Amino acid sequence: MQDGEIGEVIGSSNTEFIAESVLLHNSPPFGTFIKVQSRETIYAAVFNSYTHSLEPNRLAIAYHRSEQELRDEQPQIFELLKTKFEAVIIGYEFEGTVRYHLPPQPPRIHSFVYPCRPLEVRRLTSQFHFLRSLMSVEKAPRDELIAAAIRTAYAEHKGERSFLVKVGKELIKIIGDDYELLSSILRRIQD
Amino acid sequence: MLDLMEVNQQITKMATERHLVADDMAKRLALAVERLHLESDRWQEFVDKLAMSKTSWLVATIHEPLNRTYDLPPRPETVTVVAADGSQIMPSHHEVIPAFLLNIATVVLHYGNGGGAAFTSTPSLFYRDEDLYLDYGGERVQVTGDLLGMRRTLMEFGSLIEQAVAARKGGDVVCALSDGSLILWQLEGRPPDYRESMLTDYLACLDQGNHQDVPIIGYISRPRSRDVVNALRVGLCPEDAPNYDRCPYEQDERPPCAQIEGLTDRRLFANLLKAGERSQVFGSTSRILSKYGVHRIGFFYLHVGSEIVRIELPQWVSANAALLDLVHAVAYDQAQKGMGYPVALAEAHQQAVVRGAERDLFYDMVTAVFRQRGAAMAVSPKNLRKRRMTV
Repeated sequence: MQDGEIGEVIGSSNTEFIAESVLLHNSPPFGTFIKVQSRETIYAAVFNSYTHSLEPNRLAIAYHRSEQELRDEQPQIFELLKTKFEAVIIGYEFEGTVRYHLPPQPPRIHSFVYPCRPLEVRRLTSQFHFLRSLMSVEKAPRDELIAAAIRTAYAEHKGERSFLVKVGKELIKIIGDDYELLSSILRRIQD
Repeated sequence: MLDLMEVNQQITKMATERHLVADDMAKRLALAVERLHLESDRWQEFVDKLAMSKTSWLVATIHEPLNRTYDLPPRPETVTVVAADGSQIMPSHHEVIPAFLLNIATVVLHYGNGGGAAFTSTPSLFYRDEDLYLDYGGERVQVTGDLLGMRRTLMEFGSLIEQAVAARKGGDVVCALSDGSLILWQLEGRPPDYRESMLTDYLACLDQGNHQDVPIIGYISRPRSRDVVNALRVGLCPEDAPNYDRCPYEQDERPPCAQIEGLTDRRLFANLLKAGERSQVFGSTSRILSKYGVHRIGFFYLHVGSEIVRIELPQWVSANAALLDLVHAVAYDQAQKGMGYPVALAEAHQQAVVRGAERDLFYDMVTAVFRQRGAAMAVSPKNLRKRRMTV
């Protein structure tokens, strides 16, 4: 294991992958950017995460205790739960440059997952191809996901208003005449 | 194929008969409870009578009035509970190789200090001739059934002690839980060389526990033992010194001691103990215990809320008031946490268990590896046939 990984790939396809989080209840936040160190470095955005029992036939039940009490008196619980997260692939790095299309091979199972560094987020989001990848996600509310990703990106563009203007123009191009969706995204970016 | 209609009729018949038995048992129980209080009032004479009697049953050794109960002591705020369990893939000569696999799991649960939990699950494959066969009593026997069970017990016990001692050396207060009896009565009647060798390994584990102040207990859910009921049966005998070799009531349709026959201690103590309470520590007269030395096993009954369980413990635990309180408190607390059964033992079982699908996968893996190496492999025709039925 290397330092700093936040998860390990346990299922993957060309368009998305699923990873087990290193820390329970601590998956990377919704709409943030992560990378997988595979053959290439593959970039992705988190669109879902969940925590469940390791064994399919064991259900979680309510204990009516605080988490601290449970950690003190039912410590086995935390060994039997796993947090997983899913991410949509938005590009990869080949010979030093970022490619804004799908990688030739999906991420390898058991590859480690890392958070993207601020500089990488800036680089990934200075082009707007990632928005198109996010549009293709069906397992999460699209307006929420796109707005969250834009908020993440905007935080790394240090309050450049021009960034938001460019995003807006790009969204109009991608979304076309679905006014409902567009206004929903814009509302969520402003909040 | 099972003829369910036929089974159903038999089940109905069984239920009717059981109902009749239950009525009779209630009467026997009432008498047994009455006798228990009676013998408690004159318990020293009762102890003397027991000492003079000779029976073919296991009779509890008694040290104080039978109706004496002990309240639940507080559990130390921080304590580490260790448990082990195992399971196996039995050797089968119908499969590609007659190997067997033992999977031993341990669970270490740290309470009260956020120390978390640690699980292990360790498979061991046995395939050499010296693994598959044992030479003892001048015979060569295949390791299966009881012999396999004994090997598994020893491995479980070894892992249990290893984890418990490691936690103890880290400064924890530790209690080690084993599933089932600590009395290896199965060894009685086995050839002496085998018995000695198994006991030596087993008692070496208990030695380590003793030296490190790690109490080890056997937790028996729904015990079927009758040691205390048997003692009351001796009490029912009109003879001054009952001797089963010269029983004057042998020809009677219902000898005096038969009045409470068939009862278990668990039913008796369900009438005596309240949740959390335990009985006194009784001694066992199991013959194999004569070989246990300082580790001689005693037992008490404990009301864990959902049932009466039997807790077995070595003498050095019951003789140490602090350790005795520790095991009492931990056994009860574990059952509460596990909704009726100790959470450490339940988790250890969960870690150890080998499911049917895993067993099949294991043999698939074995077959694949042998094929890769070009070895001629064969599953027996019988097994092949069972896997693929045709019409």
